[in-house]
Amino acid sequence: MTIMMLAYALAVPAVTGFLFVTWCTRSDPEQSFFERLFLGFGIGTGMTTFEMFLLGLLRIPLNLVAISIVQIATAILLGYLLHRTGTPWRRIFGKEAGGPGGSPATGTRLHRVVVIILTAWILAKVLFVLYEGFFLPENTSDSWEHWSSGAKFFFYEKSLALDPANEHFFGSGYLKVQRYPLNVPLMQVWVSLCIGEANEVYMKAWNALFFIGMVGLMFFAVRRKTTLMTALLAAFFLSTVPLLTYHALIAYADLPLSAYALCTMVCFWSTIDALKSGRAGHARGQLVLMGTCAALCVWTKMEGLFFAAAFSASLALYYLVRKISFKQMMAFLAPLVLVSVSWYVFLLSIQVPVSYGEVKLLGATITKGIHFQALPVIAEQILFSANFNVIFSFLFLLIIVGYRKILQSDLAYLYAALLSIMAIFLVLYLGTDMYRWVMNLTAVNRNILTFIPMMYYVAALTAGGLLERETVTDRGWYR
Amino acid sequence: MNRKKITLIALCLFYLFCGTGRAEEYVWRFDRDADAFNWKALNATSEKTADGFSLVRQGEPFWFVSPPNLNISSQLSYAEFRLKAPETYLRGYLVVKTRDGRSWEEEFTLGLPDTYHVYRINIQKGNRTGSPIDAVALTFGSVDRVFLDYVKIYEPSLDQLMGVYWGEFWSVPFASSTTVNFIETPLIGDYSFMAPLYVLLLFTAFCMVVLQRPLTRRSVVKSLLLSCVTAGALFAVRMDYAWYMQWRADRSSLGQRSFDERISAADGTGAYDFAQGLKKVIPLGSTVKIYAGILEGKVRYYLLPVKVSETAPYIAVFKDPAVSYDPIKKLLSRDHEIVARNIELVTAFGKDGILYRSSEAGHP
Repeated sequence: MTIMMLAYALAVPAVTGFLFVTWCTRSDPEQSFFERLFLGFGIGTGMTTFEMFLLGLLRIPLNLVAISIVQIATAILLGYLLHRTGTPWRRIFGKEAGGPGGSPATGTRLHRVVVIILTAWILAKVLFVLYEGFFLPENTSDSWEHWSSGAKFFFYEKSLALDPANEHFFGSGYLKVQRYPLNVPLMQVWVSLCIGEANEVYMKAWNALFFIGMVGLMFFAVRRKTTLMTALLAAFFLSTVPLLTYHALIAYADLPLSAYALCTMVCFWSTIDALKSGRAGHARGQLVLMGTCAALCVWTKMEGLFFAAAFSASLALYYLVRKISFKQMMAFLAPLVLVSVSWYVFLLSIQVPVSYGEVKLLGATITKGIHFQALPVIAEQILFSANFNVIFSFLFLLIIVGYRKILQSDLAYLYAALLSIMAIFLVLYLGTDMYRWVMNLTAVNRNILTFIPMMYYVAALTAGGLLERETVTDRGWYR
Repeated sequence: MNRKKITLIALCLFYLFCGTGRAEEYVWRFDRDADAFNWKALNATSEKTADGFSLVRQGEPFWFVSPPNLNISSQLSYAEFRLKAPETYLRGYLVVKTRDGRSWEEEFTLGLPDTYHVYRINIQKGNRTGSPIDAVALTFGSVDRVFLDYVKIYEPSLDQLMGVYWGEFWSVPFASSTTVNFIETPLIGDYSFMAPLYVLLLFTAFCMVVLQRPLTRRSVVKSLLLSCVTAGALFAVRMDYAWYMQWRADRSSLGQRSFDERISAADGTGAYDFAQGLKKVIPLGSTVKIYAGILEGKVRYYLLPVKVSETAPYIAVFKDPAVSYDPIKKLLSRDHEIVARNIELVTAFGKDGILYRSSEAGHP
């Protein structure tokens, strides 16, 4: 019974998210079933938790029936909308895979062997993550302290505990930091409600699935634009990032944030692709998805605001250069504003401070001097630690050898978003007291982790373009 | 003599002069009675079984100490020992004491359970004064039983040193890989393995460029990118090997255990077991106040749905030496400050956990 209810807990958000993505991309035959599924899993999960938050605000008890009704009603509505717009079943469930380049069967023997090895390795990694994710209990103090303790409390309270007379008002004493967004804790509440107990193992299974979703999304999203080998290598290297693997086995929020950041990046590239080929309707759908993913970054961790800001700035740049319509900009901004405003207005209304008490404003602390001592530590971590594989060196090399092509292509907008996020973190590290978290290694690697999947995606698109120029000129990033 | 033969002879001479094994080394083999009796077990008993020489914990702290006044030259840089334990995820320590009265400890993390592993520790790094070594000791943390084969202190020859580096490179730190903040970087000697990986990357790129003719910008770019892919793949081999070993450790350590036992093992502090015990005693709907030092948050987490409250009738104390109970005056104090009156002991959970009940509401 527990297994069935666990499957239900994971399937409901996945189906709702899948239908939402399918509805937004209904006019685009390119995105495969699995790409929409992997994208939809994260989005559906975020939608579920945000709906739970709204139910909590309305003082409706958080129980399985109430949340299921909202979820299933959303799924039925999306199904009806798809039906009304005449989207054929084949389109919804068709795999539509494929991209440039031939199939592995037509490649050389070495090519086929490499494809088999990479596929087997990725599958082994997926099985490892599933085994550990659904077997090992939560064992990292940072993880249960920040994310699971509050979840367990809300589960037993069956509400957000917003009664002012409650000694543990809004999880006080259990939510270690009340200003942290609720996406991850409410995911754990949802699983617990479905299986009927706060299970130390299954509560944290989300991260394993987010990891698998990210690897899958990387493969299918890159495959649409480049050859099978490039897509496989991108998925393989993403799956081998050690710190990402570790986070797949615990319940910390950095991995879901990095997954939503990757989803935002993929949707941004699909938007640019659609606008370039004159499919305005499809671009609007992709912008809604991009805005939703950016909103879910905000809904997952406070650092999500940086991602929303960076993507907004990059899109604004695109808006100014390519003159996209105001309506399209609104399609991006609407979900972002809805989620961000709701959450921060709520925090202000219950008088929870939204910034770190000890951190002074940037201008005030920057006068004390810039903390250049953080730079060698950051350099050492990105180049000589075993946290991220060799992606920094690889991307740096790609930028050096391909900068002209990057600047001439629309990939520049993806780089703008990525470099903006890096710049925001760097300014914070150098200009505020946050440099301490670099020096003692408590936050720097986790912060970097949040944009690592984006780096792999951008690197795959760039490398694919550089190495496979002859085969992808019609669909790749060259203009 | 042709050039090949001269090169071969030169290499052999180089190998010989580098030393294939220094004479000075100290070895204790515990299958021999004399060696086993020379070492002293603190709070443990020794046994000889078919599996070898073993030490069984009898109390705290659990140490195994070498004979004193060893006077080992500080030039001997490595301590090596071979042992097996039924547990993993735990740390042990090698404590080194020098003639000038200094002592320090070097950490090692236990390998897969119930299998002999060789552990090598550089003891020269911590010997800042270069004083001769007077004694060494092994401490085993919370392991209950260890089988010990030998302890050796020696200066490795060049080929032995390569072996040591190779072993260190592939060693997997099961116990210390429990931080959300970073992953332990494998070392080769004192350097991150990323450094030789970058050298290899450049060397591979150079070889590819040389082999690819004609030399064009595109061939250079392709060579560099493929070298990065190669370096990344080698990185993946090493780091995914660590996950494979982690999986083996988890499967062999936790695979046969029940759900509660798995959580208890993963917790490792006893907080989970204590909270489970409390839940059986505290009535449904009642609240509790917890004094558990740095484990307070953990006990609170595991204790749910029993909630904590400042005015709770129950008071749970776990591994908090600052708390004392006066049964005559029925007072509970923390850091010599009275925290509750009219206290009666409800029950004890092992030696670390106690549950009290206060008959005064809203104490104090």
